[in-house]
Amino acid sequence: MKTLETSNGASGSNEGKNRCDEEMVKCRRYEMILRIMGLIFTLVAAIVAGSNKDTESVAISLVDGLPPLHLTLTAKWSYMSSTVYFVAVNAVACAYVAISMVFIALIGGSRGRNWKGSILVVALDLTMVALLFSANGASASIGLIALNGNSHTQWHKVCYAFKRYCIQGGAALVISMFGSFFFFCIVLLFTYNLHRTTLNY
Amino acid sequence: MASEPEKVVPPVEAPVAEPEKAAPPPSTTRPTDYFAVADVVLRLLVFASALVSVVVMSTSKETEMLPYPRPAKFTQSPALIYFVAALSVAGFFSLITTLGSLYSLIKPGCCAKIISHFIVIDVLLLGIVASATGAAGSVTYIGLKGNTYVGWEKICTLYGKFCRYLGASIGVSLFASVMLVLLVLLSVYSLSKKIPK
Repeated sequence: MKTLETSNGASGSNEGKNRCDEEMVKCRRYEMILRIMGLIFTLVAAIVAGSNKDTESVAISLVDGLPPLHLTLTAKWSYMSSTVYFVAVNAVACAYVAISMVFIALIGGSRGRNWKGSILVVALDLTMVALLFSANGASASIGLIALNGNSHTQWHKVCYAFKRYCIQGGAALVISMFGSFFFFCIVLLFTYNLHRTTLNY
Repeated sequence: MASEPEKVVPPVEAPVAEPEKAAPPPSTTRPTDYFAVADVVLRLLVFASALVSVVVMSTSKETEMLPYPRPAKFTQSPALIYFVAALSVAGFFSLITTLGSLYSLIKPGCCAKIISHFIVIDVLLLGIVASATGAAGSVTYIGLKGNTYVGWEKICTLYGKFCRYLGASIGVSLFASVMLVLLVLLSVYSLSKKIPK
């Protein structure tokens, strides 16, 4: 059965190969576009989240009868471990995409035939998808607690006082979600390429 | 003259044919497809980890006697509710893909196209499980360490059993996401082996 398939494939192989090569070039172009978009979005998310600092004077009423106490408090991204994780993961993802684009451009000639050489890139892409999604989830959950508070654990809401900090953090989260979507699309494009190539044979 | 060898040949062939029929039919000598077996095993592991995480998180209720009994359960935090929901979805879909790849192991060559579709499902599950792990992990970390800058106190000194259950559940879901990464890599590798050089 295997010989039958290869003999059938060999008869129309020239045309199939040309079509395959054309689609390979198109796929590689799409992949480069996706990688550049992922780079831009994760870079912007890391910068927006990493420059998140706000100093506000907060009115804290300790005792009901007395006038509220005005304290000057600072909210900084490095004060919360989940925002630190968020900035770190976005920075790592951005650096990885830059390095992987250089790597793919270097071995790009043989990548169409040499699937095993690109398994490393796929593995790291998957790791980046997982890390980015987890950083988004962590930042979103902490942002939600900061917005709404949690009455059961006595964690009070803080976003009413630090509006600009919370809005900037939310914007960074949205940008990072778009970036992680592009990373996901990179893996999907590779899978589609692989699927199409195995079907042709 | 030509008919004589023909008459001689059939009786020679007949006794040769009979021992072949008497012997058990030759098995299609196919080497054990280790990739398919590893595929099923990994998917079972993912399903088991998702199930364990959901069960442990759901049964992590602890009541402490402060002036009045105050329970700590997973429904009090939206991140933990999201964790349970996301891992249930992941467990359900991993069960479906386990059955699919088990069927493909038993009847090889039947669903070759579907296996590459399972890669997409696996990457989606990876994203979902990773985000749920991150969300629940961040909430649990704040419960463990507290945050002095925002005035959020640690609760794990008070609710020890609750925090242990949460930590175990999140650890198992981290294991599930690692298994999902290995699963996608395995599927990609086994698909790439089918391409003749």
